[in-house]
Amino acid sequence: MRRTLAIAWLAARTAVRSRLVIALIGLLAVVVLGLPAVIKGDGTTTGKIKITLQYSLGFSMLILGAATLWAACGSISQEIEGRQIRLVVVKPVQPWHVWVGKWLGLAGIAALLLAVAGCAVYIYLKWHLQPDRTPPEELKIIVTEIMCARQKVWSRSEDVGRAAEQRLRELLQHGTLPQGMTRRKALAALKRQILTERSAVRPGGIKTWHFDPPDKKWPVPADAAGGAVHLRARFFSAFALEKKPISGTWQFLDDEGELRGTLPMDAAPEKLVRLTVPGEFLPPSGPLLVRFVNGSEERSATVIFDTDDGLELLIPAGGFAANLARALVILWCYLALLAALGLTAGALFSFPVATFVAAALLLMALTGNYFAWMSTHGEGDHHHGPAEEPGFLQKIGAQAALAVSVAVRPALAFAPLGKLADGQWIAWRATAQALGILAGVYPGMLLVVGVLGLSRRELAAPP
Amino acid sequence: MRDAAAIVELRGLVKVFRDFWRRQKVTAVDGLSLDIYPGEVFGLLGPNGSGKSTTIKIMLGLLHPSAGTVRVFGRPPQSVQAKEKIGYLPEESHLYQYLTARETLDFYGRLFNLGARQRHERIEQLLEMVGLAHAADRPVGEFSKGMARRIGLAQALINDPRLIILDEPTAGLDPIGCRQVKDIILQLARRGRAVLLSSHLLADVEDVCQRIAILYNGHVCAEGRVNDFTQSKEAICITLPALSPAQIEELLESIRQKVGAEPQVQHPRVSLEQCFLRVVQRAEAAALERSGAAAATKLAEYLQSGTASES
Amino acid sequence: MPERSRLAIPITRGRQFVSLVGLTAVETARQPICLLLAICCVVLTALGPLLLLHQFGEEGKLARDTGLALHFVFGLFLAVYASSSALNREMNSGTAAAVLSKPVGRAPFFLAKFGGVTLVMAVFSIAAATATLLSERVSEKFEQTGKVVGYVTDWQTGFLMLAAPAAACLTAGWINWRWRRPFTSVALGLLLVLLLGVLWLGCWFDRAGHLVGFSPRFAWRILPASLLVALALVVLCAFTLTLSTRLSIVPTLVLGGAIFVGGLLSDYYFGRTAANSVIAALAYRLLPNWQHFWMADALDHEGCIPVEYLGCACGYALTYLAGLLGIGIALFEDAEVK
Repeated sequence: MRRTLAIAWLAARTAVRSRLVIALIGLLAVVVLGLPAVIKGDGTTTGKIKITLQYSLGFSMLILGAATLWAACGSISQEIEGRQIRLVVVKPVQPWHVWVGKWLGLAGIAALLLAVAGCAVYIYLKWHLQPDRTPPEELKIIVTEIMCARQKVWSRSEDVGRAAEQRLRELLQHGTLPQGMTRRKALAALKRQILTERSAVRPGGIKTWHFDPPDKKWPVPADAAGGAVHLRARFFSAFALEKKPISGTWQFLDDEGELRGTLPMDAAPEKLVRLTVPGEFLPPSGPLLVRFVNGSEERSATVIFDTDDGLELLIPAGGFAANLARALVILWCYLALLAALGLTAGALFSFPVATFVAAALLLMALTGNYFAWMSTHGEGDHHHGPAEEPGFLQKIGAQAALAVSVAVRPALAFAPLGKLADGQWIAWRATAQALGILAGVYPGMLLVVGVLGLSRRELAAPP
Repeated sequence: MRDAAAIVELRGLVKVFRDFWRRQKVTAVDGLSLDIYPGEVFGLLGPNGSGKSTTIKIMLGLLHPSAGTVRVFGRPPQSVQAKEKIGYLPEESHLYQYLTARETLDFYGRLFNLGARQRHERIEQLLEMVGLAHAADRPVGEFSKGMARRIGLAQALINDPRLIILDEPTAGLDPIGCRQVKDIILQLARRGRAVLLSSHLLADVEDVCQRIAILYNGHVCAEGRVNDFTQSKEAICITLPALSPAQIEELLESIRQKVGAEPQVQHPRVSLEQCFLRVVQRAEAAALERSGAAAATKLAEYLQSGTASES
Repeated sequence: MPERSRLAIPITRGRQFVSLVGLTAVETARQPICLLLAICCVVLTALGPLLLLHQFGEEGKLARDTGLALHFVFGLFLAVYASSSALNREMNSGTAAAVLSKPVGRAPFFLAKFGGVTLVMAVFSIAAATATLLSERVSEKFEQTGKVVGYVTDWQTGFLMLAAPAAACLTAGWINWRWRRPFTSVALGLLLVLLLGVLWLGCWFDRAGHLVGFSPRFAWRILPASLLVALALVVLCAFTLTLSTRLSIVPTLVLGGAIFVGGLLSDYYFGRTAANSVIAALAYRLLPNWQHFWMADALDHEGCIPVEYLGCACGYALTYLAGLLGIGIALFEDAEVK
């Protein structure tokens, strides 16, 4: 442990004394303090808060990510080129001591800088939330919808499998599947079709969603907890040029169908509607039924709710400071992963080649999902008739893209900045998963490759 | 010395550097075999490109041999247990520029898993020994070449090694510094450490080494005791106090009659190094101020462990 | 002083300068990263029209924009690596000291480094510009000629364009094996030559692959846009070289990237609020505005970049170059060289 920590301390000291840290602090100061000063957004404090959370932290993360990756690439490779590593490896240290030590040092510096950026953002936001700087109505929105931690509760997903099978059987009684259409694709298309049909609510129609309480019971009423429960609905008008507003009523019922409260709604289509749900509308326990009753034809139009996230219930789950801390921990995990990637590349290649290889791998990981989607959904030549059967090379490429996508999917599952700017709760479980996956599993795999490379490399070989 | 097992055993060592196409570029070491025993100072000599540095790097695990076997303390050179007993001073001291001298020694001390107190004690003793106590808190990047060699020597001794490998240890040092390093080497050998010295400065090698190997083209051309190389068996020297010319002539005539050979008469020579040191010592005694590194030739206390023996 | 000896010193200095420029260019070109960046830029530019399906309402636009963007981004990395290795590494390794101990002034030394790096950037830019031209030619377009009616992708040119980097590497490998010439610089040179060869061949064939006689059927109006990008990269080289007088490669990379992004977004973030904010106004004036060099949109719908605009952009670039190189020289005069 002492050896590893000695190398970690050396890596950190080198980063500080080589002026890299100073350069980064300067850049972070420009981003965190300068960007919000020049970007106006929509002119409201709410807009500024969102910009600060997403852009300032986002740019900080971009700068720190790039710097961490490049510093990690250079950490081992430049010592090999500069021959300092020869005096280290002739000491009783294993190659993994070197890798882990450098990783800890770089991750430590990254944590420090991220903490500084996070604290600066927090102080800046708190400064903006003073009553003399922000109107009270806006302050209320900010505190209840942005600078908070709200847990999303999804409605029970509708099981349309059986209905899709039924419909497919009926269709096949009258004909066969079109050329190139498989049974699996047909079922998927029918499921989408049924879900879309069910998401449409005509004037006078009703649609009901079932919400199960997290942790077996609903939170205490808003006033006591200091937070508000929000209902967020995303819907579209049935016709693209429809100008009629959507009018209706939201009903809140318990599991036995007893009405606990109603909220009227009058909104233009294709906008996100936010409703504050009083605490007494929530049942003490058991599922909550939320029902939308569309207005009459004179007052309203047919509305289609988004099939994926048409309705969300957002309940308070914690404070903003803790949420920000958890977001920063997840962001740090990404930086730790980048450090691991850079160190492994630096153990195998010279510095410029290592940065190139690391950047290329990163790009492949980030775009693997896109190419995997294209390979399964793309229709190839779109001008000359029906899609052709993919060739051998295309199949290989598609499989490779899918493999990359599957391998990196766990790493890309966390999106802390978006959640933070949206006031969404970042769960402790997600934080622990990020620590395990991004700062544990993936770096562990990279450690194995890096150490193997470092062990086999002749560190005193002429260039 | 020879009763103990060899610390370093090289058998049929071969190292071939190849290009990208796996074609042979250079055969740096070609069938080299030698042993190094505890308590001896072994000199590795040879012209440039003879394979000295390559051999040392293979012994330390920095290069992999193309053929042959290498055992250091009975283990492969990459073994961590073997490295715990080795101290290495490379030809060029590539140190971490941003660390001070004290931090440098502290870092390397930690790599040997030395405790804080032990480390601190050794660092202070080593800095005193190599004459860098006054520059302990200066970044190594600001050091002159000689100072960098001194700190390099210090880091090579931080772990009280059983085998010390020194590649050009006196390069960049002034004559006093050279003498001090040589004294340290001799003292270490008397304390049972093995020292492998690679140097182009033959006078230094002659001063300290007991055995040498001369490399050429990657293999050992000659190996043996220094005295066996340097002493000529075909003649003898007799040193006498100063005599008058008449006395000298009388002696010479006697030798001519008895031996039948024409003797040569010369005044014994003192080395330039000894003259220089004598002048400097006189100046020191007169308390002239001198800048730069200064050190006693006394070995650091922790290095004085081990049995003192005649070489 | 006689006329001849009066000219001898400037001639000597001139020869020194040219030698240093050449040496810097050769040393930079021999780095593996230089070849890697050039090949990746060319290959990705070539793959653009073959992988991307949508045309956004205009044929060739995506290939053109992709090629220019890759030219810019890869050029940024090349500028940083080249500058750092040309100057900072030499300052720390003692190589610069060996040169400066000769009768070579610091200012000419610094300018020669800039010249050498710019030379390599020029080779890279010519390769990237050629690749963009070829990529635009390859991209799918609707044709209505006597022989062809329909959407045509110039697969022949596309294949040759992808084969050029492979052929350059294979040939350079053979030369390295046979004559032990450095692989990377030879491959870089061959890449340029082969791409120009593909360009020349493309003048003899139509997009359907039929031999029709010499007729340069390329969108030559792309070249001014490529030239503007190359100018921007030269300014970036000056910036990163100036940074290299004091910083090692990683901080140079970070700050170079920040200047790149900052300059690209300068109009949006600072330009709009410059009238109301001192900080924004200062940042807007100091940061080089890369949008002035990004004229891809001007090429839409058969547009061209006027020569007058090129002249203005050159003036803008020269102003920045003068300033940056002046600062760089001043910093280098005081820099410690080991």
